[in-house]
Amino acid sequence: MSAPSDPTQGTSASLSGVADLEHRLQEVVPSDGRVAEQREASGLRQEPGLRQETPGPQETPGLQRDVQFQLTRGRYRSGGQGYQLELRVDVDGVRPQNRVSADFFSTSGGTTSYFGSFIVHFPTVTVTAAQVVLQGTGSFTFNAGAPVVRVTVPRRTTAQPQGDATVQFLTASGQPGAGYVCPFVSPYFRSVVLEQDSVTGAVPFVSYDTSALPQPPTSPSRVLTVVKSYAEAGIELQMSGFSNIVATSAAGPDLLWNDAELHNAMVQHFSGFANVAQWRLWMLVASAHTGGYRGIMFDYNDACQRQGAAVFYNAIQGNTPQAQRAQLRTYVHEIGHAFNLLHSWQKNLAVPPQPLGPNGGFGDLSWMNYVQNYQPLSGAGGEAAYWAAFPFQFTDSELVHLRHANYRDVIMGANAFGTGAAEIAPELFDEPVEDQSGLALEVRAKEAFAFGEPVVVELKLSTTDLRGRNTHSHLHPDTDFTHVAVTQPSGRTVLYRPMLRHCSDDAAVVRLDQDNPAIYRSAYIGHGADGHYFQQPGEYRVRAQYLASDGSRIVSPVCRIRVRYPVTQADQEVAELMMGEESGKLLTLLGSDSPALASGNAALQEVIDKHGKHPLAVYARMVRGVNAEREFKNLTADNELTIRQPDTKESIQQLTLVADASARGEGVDNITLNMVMRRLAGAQAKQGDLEQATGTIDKMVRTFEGKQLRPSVLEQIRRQAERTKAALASETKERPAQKKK
Amino acid sequence: MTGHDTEKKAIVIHIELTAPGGPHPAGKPVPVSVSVVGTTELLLVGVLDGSEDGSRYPRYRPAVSLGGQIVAAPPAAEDPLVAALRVSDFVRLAPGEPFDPCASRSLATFETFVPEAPGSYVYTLTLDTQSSAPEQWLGRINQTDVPEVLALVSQVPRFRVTSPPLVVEVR
Repeated sequence: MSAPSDPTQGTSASLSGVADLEHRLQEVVPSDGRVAEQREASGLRQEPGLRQETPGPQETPGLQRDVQFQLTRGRYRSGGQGYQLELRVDVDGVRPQNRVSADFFSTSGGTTSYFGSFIVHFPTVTVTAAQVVLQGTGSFTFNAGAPVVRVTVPRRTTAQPQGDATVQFLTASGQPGAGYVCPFVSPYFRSVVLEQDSVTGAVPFVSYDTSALPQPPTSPSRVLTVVKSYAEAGIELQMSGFSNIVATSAAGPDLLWNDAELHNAMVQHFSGFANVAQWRLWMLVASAHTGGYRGIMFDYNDACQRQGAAVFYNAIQGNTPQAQRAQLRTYVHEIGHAFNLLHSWQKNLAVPPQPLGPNGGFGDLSWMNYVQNYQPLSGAGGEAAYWAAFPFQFTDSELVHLRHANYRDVIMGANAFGTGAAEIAPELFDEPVEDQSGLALEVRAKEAFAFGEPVVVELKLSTTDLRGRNTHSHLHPDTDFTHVAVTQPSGRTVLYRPMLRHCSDDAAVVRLDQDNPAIYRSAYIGHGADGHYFQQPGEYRVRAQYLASDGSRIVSPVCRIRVRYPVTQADQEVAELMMGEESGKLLTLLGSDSPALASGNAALQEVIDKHGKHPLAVYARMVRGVNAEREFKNLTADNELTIRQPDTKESIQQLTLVADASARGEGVDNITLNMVMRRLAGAQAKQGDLEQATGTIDKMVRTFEGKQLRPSVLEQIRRQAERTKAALASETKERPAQKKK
Repeated sequence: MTGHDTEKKAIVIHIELTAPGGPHPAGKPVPVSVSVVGTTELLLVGVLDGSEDGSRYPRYRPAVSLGGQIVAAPPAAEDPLVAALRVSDFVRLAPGEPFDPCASRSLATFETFVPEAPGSYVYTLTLDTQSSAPEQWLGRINQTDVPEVLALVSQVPRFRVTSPPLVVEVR
């Protein structure tokens, strides 16, 4: 993989901002109105910025105490090419969590992609008259060469606009790494677009005045909406301009919603729906759930989870203060799940596990606890006790998650609900957050493979730009430009690594346009450098990434592949023969005479001899037939070069059976069949029977014409057939006919 | 109280609630203990995340009543995002072996209900394993080992049994 370089080292962004910092600090710029917004985002009570008395070696005495400073808090983002950094500074304002965190985004060609994240827990804070400096060692999602993070934020009065934050990475020994200048973006740590639809007759919740019922003295009276509740946590919910009314018929004739109907409604009605990671969320105010629930985050079961939640009006409706208060809690609670917050007593079930609060989490005073389950360390528990003590907020650990957890653990559509672990960094295969590449990649495969069947996928690279695009044609995953990730049934994600990597430094430019809208490659990904990748029955998720000529990173949607359980004893036996390590290598190599692979050849021959009618026998025949069609050079231990001549009879016999089975739809995929028939024609031509070889190529064209392929693909096949026939004729003239065996 | 499964072999299951003897002071939760006993060997699962509010099986549904009126019971399920069912959650009981289903997770209704007024409070608990589909036992967070877990679920007898009423005098 052409892995991106370390964004904490080298040149990523100009450090010139550091030099400018002092100068900019002197500028007096009128307020741009952000101060009020920051007050809102910082929580309930506006406090002055970090005070001078904050401990720090560079503290400057005598700071004017009557000056109101901007809070050292909020979101900043650098620009430019290479890497961009989205920084979150959280050491000031209400309920500061004393963290600095950030996400890296790499820009390449027309794409911007997430790269990785870090968090600094409890940085040292040094306050001077001019600036606030935060420093600490970060926890990174990748191996950072310069893991020490120093963030400098200029102090600005409330009459001035926010200054740029400067991030300097340092190695453990203090050597400077990369630096980033990050202009202020928002007082909120995250911003999410919330689209709220409702079904006919359901009345969405508006607001609750916390003084309507007794509340703890620590909780000031205020009018809370769902948006305000999240704003107090430092999270901006931007209500989208769309608000649809969903017909109740979408819930089926029983008017009750199940999870599948809710998901379908999201796909149908969520204006911003896409199966990608994005800061967008859909909330449906529905009538009732089949399970009688108050609410649900129903999107917990597919590739891009946590994009939708619902609340059920029939269960939560009411105009009393108690009902309004409970409604607010349910809305905030379900949206919390979409941010990947688990229930208070479930934090230890997260991957990786998180610590539980008091009493196994039941003592949490949080939106994410159940009121009836509330059980403090001392005193009475239950609903009344919860409301008597609940200050309408998340816990500190939940705030750290919402504000600072790694990008993929929070953003909707990324990591699965409650899950964050993977063998490889899955963000390498994230959809770009911005894509102007003009290219699209697709992985296709048949829906289900038999256990032991070689898993072959088809890669399709097409243009989405009507004007056409130039790129290279290195689409096969045995090149450095295309990579395939396989998520196994266990949830483990591995990178397919080819047994042999083909270097491809030639240009191989291909033009994709209306006349040639796509190129295709067939790739056997069942076995590679790490052995077999599909070793157990179950569902696999496969996605690919192609690095285009202009550097754009094109990522395919997920292709789901199911490996069936063996049904018969023969299925089991054939699978064992096919899934030996040497059999896998032979499938990758399409055969070999190597003595080191003798047992693999014996296994494949056993498949042919003992299970010749089994559906998987075509793969053994293909390997044997392709290998027989070509000569094999063997350098012996005595350095003697021996050449085994093509065995055309064996090749023709095996490949004919493969071609016939595949033409009936019982064998290999189309691209592989194309290869098999051309190899078959090659064997026939080598045998001296050019007429038969030409006939095989013509049959190939007819076979694909009968498969209802797209006209542009068929035209490519016809042109390829003509070229093959010409080449075979030429080779036959140059070569004396091989004696038929 | 007994329960009879609907399968071939009749299994009698007793569920019993106990509390410290004597009148109980008002204003404090009553410490209620639960014991389940079967007459034959059987496989059971204790109280799980979601058992009490009925959002998953097995269902353990507590109730407290006073003067014939329910004064405490689990509210409607908040949401069904419950933790995974694990192989280790299954307990194989010998005939007559008592089992405390609340050993890993207590019943919030009993634990948090505070009888404020004097009177005779009646505590009951219903254990229900009669799911219409075995998947109703599974969790929705990181549920793994599904074939193994479902195989064990199929071995749990299907029954619905309610404890004899536990009457607690509160003064």
